[in-house]
Amino acid sequence: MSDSLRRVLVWFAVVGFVGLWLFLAKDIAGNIGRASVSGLIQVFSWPAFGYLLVGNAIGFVVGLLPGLGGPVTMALMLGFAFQFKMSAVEAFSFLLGMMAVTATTGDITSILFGIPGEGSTASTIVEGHPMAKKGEAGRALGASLLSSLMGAVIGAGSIALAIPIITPLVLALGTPEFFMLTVAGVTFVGALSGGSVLKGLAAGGLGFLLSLVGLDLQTATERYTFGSLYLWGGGETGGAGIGLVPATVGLFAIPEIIDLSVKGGSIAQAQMGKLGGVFQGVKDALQHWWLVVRCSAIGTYIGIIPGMGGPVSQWVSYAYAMQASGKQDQAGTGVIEGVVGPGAANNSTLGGALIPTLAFGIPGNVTTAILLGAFLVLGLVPGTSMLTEHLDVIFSLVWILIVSNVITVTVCFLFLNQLARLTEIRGSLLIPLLLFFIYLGSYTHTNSFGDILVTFSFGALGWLMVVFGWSRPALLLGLVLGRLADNYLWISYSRYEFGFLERPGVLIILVLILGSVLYPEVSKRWRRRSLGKGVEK
Amino acid sequence: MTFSRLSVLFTLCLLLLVAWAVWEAWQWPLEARLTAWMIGIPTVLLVAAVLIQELRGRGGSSTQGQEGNPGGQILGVTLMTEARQSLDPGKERRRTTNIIGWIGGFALAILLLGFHVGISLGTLLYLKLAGERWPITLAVSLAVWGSIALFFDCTMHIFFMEGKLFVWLGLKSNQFHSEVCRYLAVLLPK
Repeated sequence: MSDSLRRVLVWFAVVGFVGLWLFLAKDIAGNIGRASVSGLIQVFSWPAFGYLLVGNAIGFVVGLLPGLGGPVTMALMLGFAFQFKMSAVEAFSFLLGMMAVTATTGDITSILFGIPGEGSTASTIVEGHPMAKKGEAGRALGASLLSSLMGAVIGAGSIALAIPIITPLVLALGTPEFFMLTVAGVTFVGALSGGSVLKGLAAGGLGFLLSLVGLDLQTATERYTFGSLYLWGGGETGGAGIGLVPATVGLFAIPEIIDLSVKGGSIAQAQMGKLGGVFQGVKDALQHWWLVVRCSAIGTYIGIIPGMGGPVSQWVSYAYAMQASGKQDQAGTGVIEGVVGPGAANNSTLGGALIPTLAFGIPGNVTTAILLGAFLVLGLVPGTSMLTEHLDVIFSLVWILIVSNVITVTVCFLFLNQLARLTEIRGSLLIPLLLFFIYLGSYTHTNSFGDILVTFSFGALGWLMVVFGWSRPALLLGLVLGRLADNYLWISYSRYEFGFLERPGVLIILVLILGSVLYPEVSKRWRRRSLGKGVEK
Repeated sequence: MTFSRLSVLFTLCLLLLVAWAVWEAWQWPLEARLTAWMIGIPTVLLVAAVLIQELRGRGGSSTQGQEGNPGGQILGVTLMTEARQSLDPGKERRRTTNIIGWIGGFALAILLLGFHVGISLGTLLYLKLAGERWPITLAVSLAVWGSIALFFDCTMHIFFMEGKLFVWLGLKSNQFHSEVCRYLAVLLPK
């Protein structure tokens, strides 16, 4: 395809999208405008802004420290968000504000030490670290930080852009479709996150079953409680016996601590010199603005696909950036486009991942799965009510992503040299502090030793799942969505009996579920066949 | 026992657990068992399929496994694998056992001594046995105690359970911490 034809097609698609958006937005433009202003005011109100700053500070340090992942920290802090009795916007200012900046500061460690600060910043090493070795660390950091900010803004903007398109879609769905969507969410994450599809799906099913522990709200039947009053549950997601907070903390934080301890030594085992040339990097990012926009779009798009997220988008955008630069032969030598592209993509992914989470309750990645748990605990159910009654909360999320990254990038530019020294903290110092946060964070769920036992049990399960290659995100998602699915299924059954399975919407989602289950196997066979042909040639 | 046998054992345990969950639901009314069956029965079949795969030696289970992505990682799992590749298995096993002991030990300390004393003492012991110098060990342990007592207890008013050991001995450590809070409340400006 010639370049001019491709350009015409791109413009045609853009104009078509804008036209569709304007058509769909005309009825709700007033609501969107009001919700946008209200969201901004709520984020800047006190104490929400204070929580945002605290969240940013924690995310900042976590992003810098390799081995301590953003989702783990979010799981750890989940309990505190509820202990402080935060409102929805306050809780998300704290939690999302923390998560929004980890990819930004994770790039710093990747560039300076060649160790990914976050899972989603590994690709920045390929070009960023060679630049640091050549004495251009400041330039690489400047480019990475500004492109991260631009990526985050584009990702957050995509949520606002998506609202007019997804609102009519969500309003057309009924309870049976929502039940199928919860199943689809778990299936997508289980099937598409790599590794064994069977294990992913089974882990999701196990999560669903674990969510049933507690008192059934319809009949007051005790389900899997062993006569324990603690497992009767209460509050939260409606009588759930296993609290999301202690379970999430155990599932993700305990395996991480084991890893940190097994690894031993200090976090970044390298010395750092003085940084310079930061503003040259800023200029580079501005010069490559169109590449930043395209890589941000890639990041957003991949974020929307459940089970993918930052770890995938960074590599796809790296490959794209290198191809677009025409410097593939210089890969790994410090090509600036290879820093700018992934920097933008891994920050825009979170915005993309929030779209299906808010609209359908299908999280795009682990972070949004944990956030979904927070939504439910705070009484916000994704879907119709989220898009109509709580539009201001959605826009506050958009503003949190933008404001957090503006603050973080500014602080990074001001204190870059000092902040990078945080990576010299010894792992042995961190472990007892993390254990303190793990147990205290989970204990505050119901102030009972049962919370600690749940954390410990889920920690053991999580660690075994990591060792034997089972999907923890799928299990968590099953646990988060299980209670909702239980309610949706009962309402659907009592209204239509099994006739709800014949509804067109349900059948379409069923086809999508089957597609997601079969896709990994089919693509594997295609790849094998094309490799076979290559060998024959 | 080899890694693949352990993996089969783990899958077998999961299968038994899920099968029991489906069986247990038999006695519930329809409203309560609907989801347990509709989700549970396919899950039993899926776990059984995984078990068959693993018995045939096609489980594809590794430390990286399910959460790994092309060229990247989720939740630090790749980092974990990379780091472990350079460790000898004996050392890795020793460190793993050690940290699992500490994780369990902290939980036990909380149960027996309560939060204030249990966590602070656990921190002190961990840091000292990890080879930290006394000033750092004491400063961190004191900071941990301070944050529990002053922030979470006195300011946030979180209810902390009494340690079982104190209960058995007829002592009231929580009362001591309440006194600390009351004393501080008098000292602090209103």
